[in-house]
Amino acid sequence: MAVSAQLDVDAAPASFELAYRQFRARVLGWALRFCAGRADLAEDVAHDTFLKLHRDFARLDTDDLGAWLYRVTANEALGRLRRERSFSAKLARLFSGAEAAAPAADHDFERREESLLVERALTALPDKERVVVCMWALDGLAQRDIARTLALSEGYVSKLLARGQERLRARGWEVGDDA
Amino acid sequence: MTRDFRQALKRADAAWRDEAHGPMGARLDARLRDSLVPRRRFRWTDLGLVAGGAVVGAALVLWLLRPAPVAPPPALGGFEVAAAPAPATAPAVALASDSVRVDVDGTELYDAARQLRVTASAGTTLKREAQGVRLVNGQGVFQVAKQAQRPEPVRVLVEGGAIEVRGTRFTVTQGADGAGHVTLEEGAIDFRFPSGRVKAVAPGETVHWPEEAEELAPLPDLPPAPPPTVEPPRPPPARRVDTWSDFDRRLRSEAVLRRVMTLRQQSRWDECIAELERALELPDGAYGPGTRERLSWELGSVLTWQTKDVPAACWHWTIHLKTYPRGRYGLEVTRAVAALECAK
Repeated sequence: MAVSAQLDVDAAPASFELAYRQFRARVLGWALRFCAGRADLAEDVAHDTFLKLHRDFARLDTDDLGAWLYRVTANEALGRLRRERSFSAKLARLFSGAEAAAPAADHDFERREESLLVERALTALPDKERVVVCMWALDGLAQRDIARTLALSEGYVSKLLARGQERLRARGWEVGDDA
Repeated sequence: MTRDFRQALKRADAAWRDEAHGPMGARLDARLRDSLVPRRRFRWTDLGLVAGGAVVGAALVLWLLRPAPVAPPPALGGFEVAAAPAPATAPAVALASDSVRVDVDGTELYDAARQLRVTASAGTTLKREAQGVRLVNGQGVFQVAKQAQRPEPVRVLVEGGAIEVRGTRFTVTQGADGAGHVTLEEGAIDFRFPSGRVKAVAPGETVHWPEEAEELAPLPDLPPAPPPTVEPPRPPPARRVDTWSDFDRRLRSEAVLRRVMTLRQQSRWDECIAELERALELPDGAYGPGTRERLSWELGSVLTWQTKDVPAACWHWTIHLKTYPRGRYGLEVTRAVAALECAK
């Protein structure tokens, strides 16, 4: 099954403004889940994703725009998380030696307990495992589609998914069988 | 108790979507608007444009503030007319691009290249030459600014030689007959005669030209005409005098030829022959190339056509042809020899 069909995207927009209006919430939502609910990071990811859309809109196949945005958001999230982790790690080493902080305290308190637990579980996962788990658990993508979206091999995606599920189980979550 | 992660995640995702519709979406709108508005970015060419504009502006200001151009004094024959006693009348007339005739007494001319100032009398003719300023005739008070760095002396050329000066004032008179004199008023000058002799002139002293006869080399007697069987004597061997400069040679050549021409015009043939023989007695280095041949031809011509002294002329042409076998005057010499019937 095609990724666009699973994402339930609308008709092709005629301009960047229409595309932005149509996909803004969806891209932000995808960015939030890939960033484990961190709004600041998710906003940066969405911003960069739409900048790319603006730059490439004229030569994009707008019929498949939802799938393109989903793929770009996932990859932007992975890149941003990697850079942020590297920068945070440097700061942490510089000032306290502790690992970078998880989501901000006031951000956590506004969540319901379950959401907080989910965010913590996602935050505990490595970036790639988190993105793969989200794609599998929320969007129901097959391992082959995940591999194509993230430009990874199917075997590697299978390994990432298995590891992520194992980590979640270790934290007391029921994950169910592989897709 | 274990919890279903997929269900919990979907609920959390729904909450995130709600968040995306709220202030987060508005912040993203503002950020994107800022990012997509085209901004003028700094480029190095901007700096170049600013600098170029500043330079052009400065040049414009300097051009506007430039001093008004000073009109150069009127130029006549290469001289500037520095002052004239009666401005309403034309003080001088240009005869050519390099010569001028002064019509008003006291007209002051200036040679800017040599920094030489002449206050000339009416009727004076001056000429700018490569070697100096020539006083063709008339009278002028010359004044040269003293300048230690001057590479060469300023020269005032007259019929009978040249006056070399580095900074002084003197009065020169040149007559139409070739004679003249210079009187030094202040400073020091050297008078260079065509013979190469240089006379230092002291203030108040006057030097006359042409050079006094007693100071010239004595005229040799004309050798007797040799018999036809005797081979004519060889011309004097060439003797190079390196101490004479090109300027000396040119000056001497011009002076001799002028005097010969003057004597010719006045039909003073004996004096003309004496002048030419005296000139030909000087060694080779005394003249520029071609001048000696010209003098020899002049002498032969006077002997042939004016005095008609056949033996002397034939003897002279024999020597001339031997000295200049492919001379410039070959045709004229052949015609003269034929007219004289020298072979008989």
